[in-house]
Amino acid sequence: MGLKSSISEALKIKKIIQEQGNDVTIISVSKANAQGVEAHTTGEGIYDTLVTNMQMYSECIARDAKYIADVAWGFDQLDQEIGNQHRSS
Amino acid sequence: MVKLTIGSVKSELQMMNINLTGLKSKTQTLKNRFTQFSSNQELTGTAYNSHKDYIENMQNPTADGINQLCDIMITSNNEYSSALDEYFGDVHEIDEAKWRTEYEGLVANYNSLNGYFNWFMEFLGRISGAAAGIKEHYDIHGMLRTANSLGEQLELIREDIEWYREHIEKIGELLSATSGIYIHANMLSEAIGPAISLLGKISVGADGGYNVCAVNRKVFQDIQNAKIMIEVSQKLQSELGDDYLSGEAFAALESDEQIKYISRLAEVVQKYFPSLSSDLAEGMIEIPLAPGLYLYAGESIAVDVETDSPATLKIAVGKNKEILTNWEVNVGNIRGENFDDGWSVGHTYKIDDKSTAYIKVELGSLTNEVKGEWGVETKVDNGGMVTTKCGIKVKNSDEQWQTVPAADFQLNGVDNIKFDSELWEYLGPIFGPAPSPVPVFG
Repeated sequence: MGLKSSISEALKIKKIIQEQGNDVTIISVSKANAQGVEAHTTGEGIYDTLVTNMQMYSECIARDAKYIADVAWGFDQLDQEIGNQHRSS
Repeated sequence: MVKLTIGSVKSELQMMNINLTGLKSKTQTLKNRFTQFSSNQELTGTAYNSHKDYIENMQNPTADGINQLCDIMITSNNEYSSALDEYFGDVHEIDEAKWRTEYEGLVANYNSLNGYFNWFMEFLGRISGAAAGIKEHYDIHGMLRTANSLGEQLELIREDIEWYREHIEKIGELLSATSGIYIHANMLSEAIGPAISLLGKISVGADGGYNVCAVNRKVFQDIQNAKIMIEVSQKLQSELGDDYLSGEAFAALESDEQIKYISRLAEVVQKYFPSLSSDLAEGMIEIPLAPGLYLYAGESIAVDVETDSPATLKIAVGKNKEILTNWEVNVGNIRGENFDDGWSVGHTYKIDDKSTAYIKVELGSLTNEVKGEWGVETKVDNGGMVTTKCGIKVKNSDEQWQTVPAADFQLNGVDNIKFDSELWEYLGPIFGPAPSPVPVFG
């Protein structure tokens, strides 16, 4: 199995993860006029937390996808180096 | 005081659900890609393997958790929306403060009008008893029409007052009916938050691998645990149906009723989650079931570390698990013995010389907790004991799951009738039908 094949696989998956990851966020909803209703306050609170978490999560996914790309780039470099060594020998 | 515009809240819930459905589909696709990556055999090497482990054990549980949280939130939002329809389908806005003020104003109006009405009736009574020469000076039929019309007005005000009273009472009912709706979403959200936060902080080491210590891995395991806990709680809710109790309701039962409830719970838990005590993370677990009520499970081992060997302990733990797993068969076939030691009451079931199963409720404790428990105790060779148990406890001190406090405002209904019906029995044949009897609000 050539390294090139791994690189193309990694980059393909990276692309998909990044596309999904960059968009894993949810838009907020406007606050309804509600006071003192415990269930509603809790529900809104959980949703708000989820929105905040999703923004953070989206950053993690983008970072991880970039890491896959970095690793793939590293393999590519290695592949070229090996190729050069073969040619020079 | 509750203030809520029904339409806005419902459309917010609807909007939230649309967003959650979108998010659910995105995380599902993302999870599929993660799986595709981690199961790809072509991608090998230290960095890739470390990334695969990271995806498998950290990203996947997080994505699963987000997915499930979306499902639970959607269900909870729908439930909340239905509750609003059920209790306040006929109003546009709940405004408790305004309603209470209007209610009080109407009651004051009513009482003052009713006072006048009663004075008027007494006056009519006096005239009817007066001498013929005086009676003729008054338009008694006209007065009677006025009285009837006043009576009708009072009746209309009374209906309005009744509307306010019913709707203010419904606010309390709504609060109580919806207080536990977001319990599961809250549990999962609390487990997912730290995991996402940690994902952002995990760094890549010099060797190209992710730096994740065992403690950090546990944060992701907690998401799985929360999912199991929710599954248990939901299963119990669906199996027990209307019998599913809140902490307050369980605490209010007589001890023999509590024992019956615990027995029923034991059957359901052991049937669907036979190894609950050992399924979840190490140590005692607590699963919030309903407001104020927790299910707990775990093992307690009281042994002499020097003389009791780990092998004998393992055998005892295994035996307890086996007895609990076949709870109905093991306990159902034995005649239980009642016990009452002053602190707790219940039944014990002697399985053999070493093992005893039990169901009990604790009558009272210094910690202000009410407990109901079932389990098995097995003696270990050198005098030690292994107890594997499940139970429910009512916690009054935990603010997070506290029930909604009862409304602080007591409304008075119809209490007495001031209209003098005896007088009308006498006047009736002369003046015609009596105005409706009028209750007085105090």
